[in-house]
Amino acid sequence: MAILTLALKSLWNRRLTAILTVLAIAVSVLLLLGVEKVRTGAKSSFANTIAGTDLIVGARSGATQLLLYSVFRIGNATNNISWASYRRITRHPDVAWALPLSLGDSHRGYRVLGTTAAYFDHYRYGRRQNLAFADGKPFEDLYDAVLGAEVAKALDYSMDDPVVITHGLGAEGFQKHDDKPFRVVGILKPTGTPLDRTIHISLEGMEAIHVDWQGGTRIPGLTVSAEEARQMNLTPKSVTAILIGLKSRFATFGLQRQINEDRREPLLAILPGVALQEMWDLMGTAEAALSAISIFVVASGLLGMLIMLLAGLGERRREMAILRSVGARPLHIFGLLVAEAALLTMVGAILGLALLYAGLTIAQPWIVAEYGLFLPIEAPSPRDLSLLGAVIGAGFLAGALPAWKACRQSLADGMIVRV
Amino acid sequence: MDMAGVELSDLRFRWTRTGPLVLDIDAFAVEAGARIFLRGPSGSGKTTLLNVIGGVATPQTGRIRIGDTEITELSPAARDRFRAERIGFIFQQFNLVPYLGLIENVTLPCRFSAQRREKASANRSLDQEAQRLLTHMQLDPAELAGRPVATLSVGQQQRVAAARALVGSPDLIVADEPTSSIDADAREAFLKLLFDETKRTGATVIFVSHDTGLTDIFDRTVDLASINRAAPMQKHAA
Repeated sequence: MAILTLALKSLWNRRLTAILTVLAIAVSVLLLLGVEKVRTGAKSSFANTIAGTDLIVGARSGATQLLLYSVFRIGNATNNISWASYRRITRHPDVAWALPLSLGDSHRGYRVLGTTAAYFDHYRYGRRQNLAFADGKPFEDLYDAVLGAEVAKALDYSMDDPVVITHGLGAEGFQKHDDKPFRVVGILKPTGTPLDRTIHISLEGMEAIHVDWQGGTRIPGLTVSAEEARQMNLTPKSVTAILIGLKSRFATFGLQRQINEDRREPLLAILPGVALQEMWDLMGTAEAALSAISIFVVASGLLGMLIMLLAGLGERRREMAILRSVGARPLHIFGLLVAEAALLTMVGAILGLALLYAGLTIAQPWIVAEYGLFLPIEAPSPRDLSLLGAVIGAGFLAGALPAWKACRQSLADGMIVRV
Repeated sequence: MDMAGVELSDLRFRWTRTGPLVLDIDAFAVEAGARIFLRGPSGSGKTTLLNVIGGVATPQTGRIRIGDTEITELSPAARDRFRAERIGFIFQQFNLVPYLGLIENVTLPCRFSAQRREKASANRSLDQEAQRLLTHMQLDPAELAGRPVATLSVGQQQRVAAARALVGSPDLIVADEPTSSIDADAREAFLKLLFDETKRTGATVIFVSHDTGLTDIFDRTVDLASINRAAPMQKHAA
């Protein structure tokens, strides 16, 4: 206890360098835990986005690409699935439900998803949670739209507000489907998934806004009004992807093989969990590189502390001699230096943790809006705590070197140092 | 409790196994409660002798007895404990720990010795005892309390160091040229205050210096060069 008090007072006496050292350690711990948070946050955010879907079907491309555009709204499909294939899949005896997804348009930067009302019954996220409405109900009319929670919040939309869909995914100002505005009939509760940033309309609605379009532009001379479109056959010719729920999970691999080997259309069926795992494997190297960088930053923070303690030893010889003269043992001298290192590291680690939570609190909405990544603010995980423990342990070890040197020095100096 | 007379016999010390002898003392004794002036010019082995008496350096041969304790037979840890409990040191200068306050510097030995802490706080609190000693050393604790100790004058610092050496009434006070940095007028006053307190506690005082002007107020003066055969010859003549 005496040594701990001395260590505290000694550090306070050199508070400028001590504070700078603590800050260096805090920033390195912030980076270490921040990388960990982003890593686990990204994983759980991705893993939580889809649940209860047994297969995802898209045009034949890569499994990761299909997963990214169909579920995470990242990137685009290279091709579509014909309506006939969709119909065949829905009629398959093993299929309990099939949700068609039609993507490609947007509204003020948010993607528009054309689907069926069954989407709100069957889509699951997180721990197999159902979608819930904060306000309103699923779309019924051709020009009804259901907003994700974040769309409504960010754009300050409420029920009955008009939504004009932009053709394609370009920024505002590209060609708009302004002749057929939609109306907000429902707002979903937050899910912490890309659904929050999606505007849902019916497949027929998606078809309706494109009846007088071809190849990404209006057909010259052809104008179909919103009301005229209602009278037309709005059965889509194609969809972007299909989410499938099976009656029995045992049928998964059989149906996957059947779809992948379908000779009528080149399709790709993937298992969401397997595709996610493949995606993590792809990202493994980047993750390892990030972790290695943050570990090196922590090491440099601790190295700074080591330099501070070692540099101070010369001018602290008298202090050590006085302590020896009043009865301090070499072990006390050792303990004093180790306690200083431990205090610096612990305060740095705690400050780093506090900075992380402060940063999360401030930046969480922005990270969700900008990157679609939901980083939960929750108690440190066991892995976070073990990382903190490892940093503090490394701080103890780093303190052992100046402590040992001070110990040797004080043994050689004894009680009298004439500097 | 035995009062601490000091007795050295057949003492041989070298810093390294093959290095030159630094201390070679056949016999030297200080009676309990005595005030000894040990005249020690540079190179006479004065610093080494203090480290040996303090138990920080271990002689290769010989015995050192302080009171009824043979400190040469103690383990290094037991010697450190003995030093904390039984000996108070005052050095030439820079006696104070810069990051501790005035009272904390005085009570520093009590952090390492429960015995001294108990003795110091037998009649009053530890802080009150520190204040009493500082007042006795003609310092005003209330006035100086808020100041960093490094800003005190050299004379004030030496008096704080004396109060620290005296706290908890150790049996032996070892002073290594404590007056060399203060002016001549203040030296006698400093020693008088020190002796007043050691007389009260009955502590033995070994005062080491090369300044012979102070010898009159001591019970006995011993020339270190005359008892340490390892001291250089030219120093014997000094």
